[in-house]
Amino acid sequence: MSYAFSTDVPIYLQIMDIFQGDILSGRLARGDQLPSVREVAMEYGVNPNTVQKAFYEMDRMELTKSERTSGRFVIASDELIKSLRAEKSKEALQEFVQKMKSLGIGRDDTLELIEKGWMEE
Amino acid sequence: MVNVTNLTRRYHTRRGIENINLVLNEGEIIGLLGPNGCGKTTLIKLIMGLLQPDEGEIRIGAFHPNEAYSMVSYLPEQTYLGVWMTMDEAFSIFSSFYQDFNRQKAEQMLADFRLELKQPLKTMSKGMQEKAHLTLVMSRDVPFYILDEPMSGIDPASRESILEGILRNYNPGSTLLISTHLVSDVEMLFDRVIFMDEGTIRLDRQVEELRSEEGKSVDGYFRQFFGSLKGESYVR
Repeated sequence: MSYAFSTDVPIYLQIMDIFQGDILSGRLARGDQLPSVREVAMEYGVNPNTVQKAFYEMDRMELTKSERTSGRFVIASDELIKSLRAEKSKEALQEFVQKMKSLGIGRDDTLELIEKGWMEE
Repeated sequence: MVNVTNLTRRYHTRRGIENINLVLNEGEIIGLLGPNGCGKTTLIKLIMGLLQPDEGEIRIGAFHPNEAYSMVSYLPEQTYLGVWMTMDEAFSIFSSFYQDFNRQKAEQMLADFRLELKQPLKTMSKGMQEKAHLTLVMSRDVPFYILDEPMSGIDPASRESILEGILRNYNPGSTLLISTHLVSDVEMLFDRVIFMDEGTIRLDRQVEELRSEEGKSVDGYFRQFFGSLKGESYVR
């Protein structure tokens, strides 16, 4: 249990990020079942209501859907995944560019570093 | 679930609590936070009916605290278990005392904590005793749990297993009130926090709202909050 959440950001947003990441990367595909609220709460050592809130938000975004008896499943459409991916990659890119600028690394050097880093990862 | 209205309790020699109003809802995990001597334990003892108020009243569901013993499971700050006792014997006592005691759950929880049924409490470390007592308290099926400083005197490695024990074993529909001054270890558990100081409630907020509005962890905000209170008193 216990996961390195940053406690100065709402935890439910961070839980959403984890599951959104799983959906975007394909670890959770359409039709796959999510673990129960209780299981997630135990795994990450957080309040079950917090997990519930993250799941409600994902239901609302139509990433997932709760079937009353059988559990919660991924229902995200291809368009939704595409737009979510675009949104998330934009955020990540902004953060990355800012970081590189703050380190005094220019555009060309950054591109070169990306090439190199991509091969190594 | 719990209603506290205009509650006041004074002591002769020291401050008690002054005019507390509070509603604790079903399904909530509430952190009762504040420095030592702020009135947390006094409030808890009043809710438990172990102290009588000078003014105001408390209702647990429809009941007065003195009539609500079957609805509340309480972990006191200090253990009241006899040191000669084994967990097996403690389970028997709890079973005969409380109809809601779930022995199966208790045995499972004891195994999760890697404690032995036949081991006497006196041979257990402080952390093990705390786990043993928590096992008894969490193994009752009740709508309201009160844990007074469940982490104090426990090493950080054991704190995590205590947290997990709480999460795994409480009923999701029940109310859980946890008092602590070790905020960072348990803040992930809370829906809501109440800050107490000098016998009064200084803050009552939803934690996720606090995190997004203040951009701070509960622990960070708690330190800032009580740091600045202390600053004031230095000026005076």
